[in-house]
Amino acid sequence: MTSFYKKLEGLSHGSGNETDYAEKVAELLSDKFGVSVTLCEIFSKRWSFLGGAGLSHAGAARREVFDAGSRCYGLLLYPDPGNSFPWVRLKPLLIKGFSSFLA
Amino acid sequence: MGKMSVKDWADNVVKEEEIDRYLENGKDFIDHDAIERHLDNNKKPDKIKVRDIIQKSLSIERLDPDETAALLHVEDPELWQEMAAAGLEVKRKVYDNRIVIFAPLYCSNLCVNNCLYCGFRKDNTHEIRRVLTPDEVRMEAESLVKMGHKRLIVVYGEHPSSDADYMAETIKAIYEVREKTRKGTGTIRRVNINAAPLSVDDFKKLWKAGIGTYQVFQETYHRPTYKKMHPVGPKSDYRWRLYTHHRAMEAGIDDVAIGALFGLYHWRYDVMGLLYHAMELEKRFDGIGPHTVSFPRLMPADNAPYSEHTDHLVSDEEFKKLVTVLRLAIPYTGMIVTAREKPDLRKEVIKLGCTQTDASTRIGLGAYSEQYDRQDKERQQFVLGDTRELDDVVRELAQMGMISSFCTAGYRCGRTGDKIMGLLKCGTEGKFCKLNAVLTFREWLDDFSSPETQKIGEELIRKEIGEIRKDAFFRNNPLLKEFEDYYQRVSEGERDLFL
Repeated sequence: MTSFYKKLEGLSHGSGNETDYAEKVAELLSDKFGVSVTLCEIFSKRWSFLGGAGLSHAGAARREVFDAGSRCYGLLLYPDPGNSFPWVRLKPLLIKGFSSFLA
Repeated sequence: MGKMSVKDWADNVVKEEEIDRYLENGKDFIDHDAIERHLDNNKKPDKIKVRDIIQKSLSIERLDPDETAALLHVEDPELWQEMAAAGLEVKRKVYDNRIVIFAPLYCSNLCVNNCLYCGFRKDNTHEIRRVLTPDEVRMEAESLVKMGHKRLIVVYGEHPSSDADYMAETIKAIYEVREKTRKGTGTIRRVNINAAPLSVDDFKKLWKAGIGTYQVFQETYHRPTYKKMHPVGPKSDYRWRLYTHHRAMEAGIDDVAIGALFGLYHWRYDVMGLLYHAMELEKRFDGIGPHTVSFPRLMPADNAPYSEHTDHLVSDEEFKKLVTVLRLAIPYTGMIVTAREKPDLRKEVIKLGCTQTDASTRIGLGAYSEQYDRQDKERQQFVLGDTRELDDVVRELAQMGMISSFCTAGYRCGRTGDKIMGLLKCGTEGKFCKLNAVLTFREWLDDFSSPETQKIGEELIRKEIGEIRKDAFFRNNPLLKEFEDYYQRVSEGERDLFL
């Protein structure tokens, strides 16, 4: 599990922009927890797609929201991975990762 | 707007560099000669060719200009019937049997333009001018939420008093509204905007405010007619309007809606114009075509003589034909028929494959909260053909076997732009739509319906759930279990659950 967190933390240090980062995060989470993962930026009620499941996107059974700087992001999971999904531990890493793209 | 005069503001709306960068070799995408040629070359198409074209549309492939022109020239009534049936089948494949319900909310009628057919034109001194304050907009939204609406199209005149900052403020005000209902709480969940063309920077303001779809109509694609109809103001610039969806997309708004005002020029030409517009958007934006197409017909407007004396008024029969051809030509797109049309015709047109309609429509400024029912020409852009209440429209649709959907799930799950286009073209979005339509219809029946509508609605919901359970797509699919759990929770009073 520790190497997974290290890998997640390292994603934001790679090349690419916020969209690439979102894509990589979604892929990593999807592989690890065996669920469909989509990342969005939230503007009021609009959840705007950033990366992840895309065309195979099969709905959202669980939604998690987090702020990074002045921006708001959303994580959509399908199906709900339940308690096996360590959101409390993941959230600060995603906040840190997305914050690194803010000017 | 600072100290800038209205005239100076209007003179500075159009930004040439935000037109020029989209042109190809200095030309825009409406090739008049090509449109005329397609129309000329496809008169009297033979039956076999028409049936082949119908088959192409049934496989959810967008038609090309020659094919569309051929359909526009069909004369055989039997073939028209086949085309109408195919249109409904296309709609069923992509969107199933649901009709999305919305309401318009007019925020302002001050305008710097002088469109000959429009009641809001600046020289119309009969019109009572008004810009709703954010509080007044909130009150309008409260009235709409109390009726059961979840989705709005908010309309503004082109004027510095209703600029992009004002629009963003009104979007915010509408999203803040919360009203108690019989079993839960009602809110507006998606605010779509119908507004004059904006710059990329202004579109970004709407994007950040949480806009749903951006809608604007070219009115007519025929340049000489466009020029005649729009003599002054920013709207007189054909290309500024033609490329407004490009700018919206560039700003991040990936659900854009096109339309033409039928009756300004020949209907066959403007159907071709809409097709060219859809093709251009697909080409420029990785296959993302228009989210919806609208086809309003010119209606009488106060002190706007052209609206009563055009040579191109579209008859009911021609109207049904143009809707049929549009349905077949751009099979993936949503199609909107509005309360401009009288109830009987609207009912017929919905059966041709429309996906969205409005209800309990009032288009006067402040008309919902101030509860004036009479159609005051002095307060409206045009005269409505259908002012029935939402409950009546929902009941009629249910009697037709169609489920009224208040779903706004797509844009709250990242399913917009190319994401939703892909799902629409392969038929998957229709499956989500069906589930979300049932969930939102359940909410609406419990919170707002009359006993008569409730009775018919319950029968429809039972039938829908039966179909969902039998559908191979949902068999062994965790979505079904999720849906059944959500349905139970919604029935118990939980609100806004969606897939």
